[in-house]
Amino acid sequence: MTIQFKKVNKRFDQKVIFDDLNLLIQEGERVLFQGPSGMGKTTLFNLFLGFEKVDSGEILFNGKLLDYSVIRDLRQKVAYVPQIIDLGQGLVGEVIEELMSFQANAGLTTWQEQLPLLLKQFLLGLDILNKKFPTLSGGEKQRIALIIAILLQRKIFILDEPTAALDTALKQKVIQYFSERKDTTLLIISHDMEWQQLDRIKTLNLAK
Amino acid sequence: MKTPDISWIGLLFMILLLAVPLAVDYWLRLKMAKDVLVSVARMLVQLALMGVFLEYLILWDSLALNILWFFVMVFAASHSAIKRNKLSFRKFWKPIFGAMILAVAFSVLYFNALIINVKDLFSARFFVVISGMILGNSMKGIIIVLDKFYTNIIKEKHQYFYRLSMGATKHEALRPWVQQSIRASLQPIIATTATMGLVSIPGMMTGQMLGGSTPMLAIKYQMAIVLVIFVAMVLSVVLALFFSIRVVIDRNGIVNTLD
Repeated sequence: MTIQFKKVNKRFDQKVIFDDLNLLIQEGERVLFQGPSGMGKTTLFNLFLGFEKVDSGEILFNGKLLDYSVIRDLRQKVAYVPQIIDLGQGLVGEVIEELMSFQANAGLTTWQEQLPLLLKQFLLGLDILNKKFPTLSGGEKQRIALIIAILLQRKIFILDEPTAALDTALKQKVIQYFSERKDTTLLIISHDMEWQQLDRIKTLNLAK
Repeated sequence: MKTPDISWIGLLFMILLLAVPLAVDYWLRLKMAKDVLVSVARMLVQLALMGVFLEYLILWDSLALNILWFFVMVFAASHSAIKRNKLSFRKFWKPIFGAMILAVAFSVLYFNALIINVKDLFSARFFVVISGMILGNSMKGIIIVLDKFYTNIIKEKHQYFYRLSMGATKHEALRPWVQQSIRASLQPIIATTATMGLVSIPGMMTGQMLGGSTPMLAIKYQMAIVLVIFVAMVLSVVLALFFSIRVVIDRNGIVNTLD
């Protein structure tokens, strides 16, 4: 598995976000993206996930140009935790069930057994499943999104500020979890310094 | 029994009724006189033109002309449904026009062929008149469905992108907005259907009874037309939404209602 950005240019109106950006991420790498707000960290993820288009340049996934079929394949291989977490209006349990019912997730047969264990691991009670998603606190939403990402059993994690709303103890729990997942590729945007404790982590600063 | 004619003097008395709203406007200083006069004038001109057209359509009763008229009406309705939502006409006209053509043609032909069983399915008296009645309602449904769907999916794009990021197919990812917008577009007609005959006498029935039909006959027509209008609306709304999704949302799920 490789992710490659080749001479990627992207601007919004007049503001240049990326000017000939080159980037190569190999399987199993752990990359922490840093840099002040507005430097295009989230845009980088959006381009990779196919939510935005490059102005010029190429993005390659496993050496293949991101076209329709590659994007579809990629979206079935990544677990994404967005910065703004909106899972709709329903009950948390129903929302998770619906996401797990997508065709792409049909192979997941053990998520129902794993869910209570993960809730416990991240200090959430089972009762949260019967709460409406919008009523959750920021920290609860963040942990639910992380749990869903883990339930998907994918090998590439794309995490956009995944611990911003968590207290120190919880941040440690999340980082602890990922430090044990040595089989995964991690792309993380975070202002939390704690992520730097992760061994083998590479910090990339997008500020020029 | 025939419908009594309205004489020139009758028409004069009709116009004289405007004195009531104008007096209220003057008395309460509503400053609505201009709006009232403009909208009444529009109504008079539009209906007069419609009257002239229908008069000739029914007189000539030509198949080609009836169908042409049908297309023109559907095009006008699609145009106003798109403009009301401030959507790109260039992008939306084909899906909306196509959806309305299919939905309305199916419903009016079903009504003519199977419910009232007329010989000439395309005769102006039935085809043009009934499709006109169906069209207005379909247009209202399409206005609501497009508004709800595209406004909400853009407003809630974080949720939509999240679903896509999981590898959802386009239709899996769109499901909540498809459900919400179709529900919202059908709710008004479901509510009116439930109160039908409770207080007011529906317009079509009134017309038929003034024309000399018995109440039972008028009611049978009314029931049939309510159901046909409802079905046409369901079809219009669903087809318009799915046809437009094909054009507006690309294969990667990116929504682009502009250009």
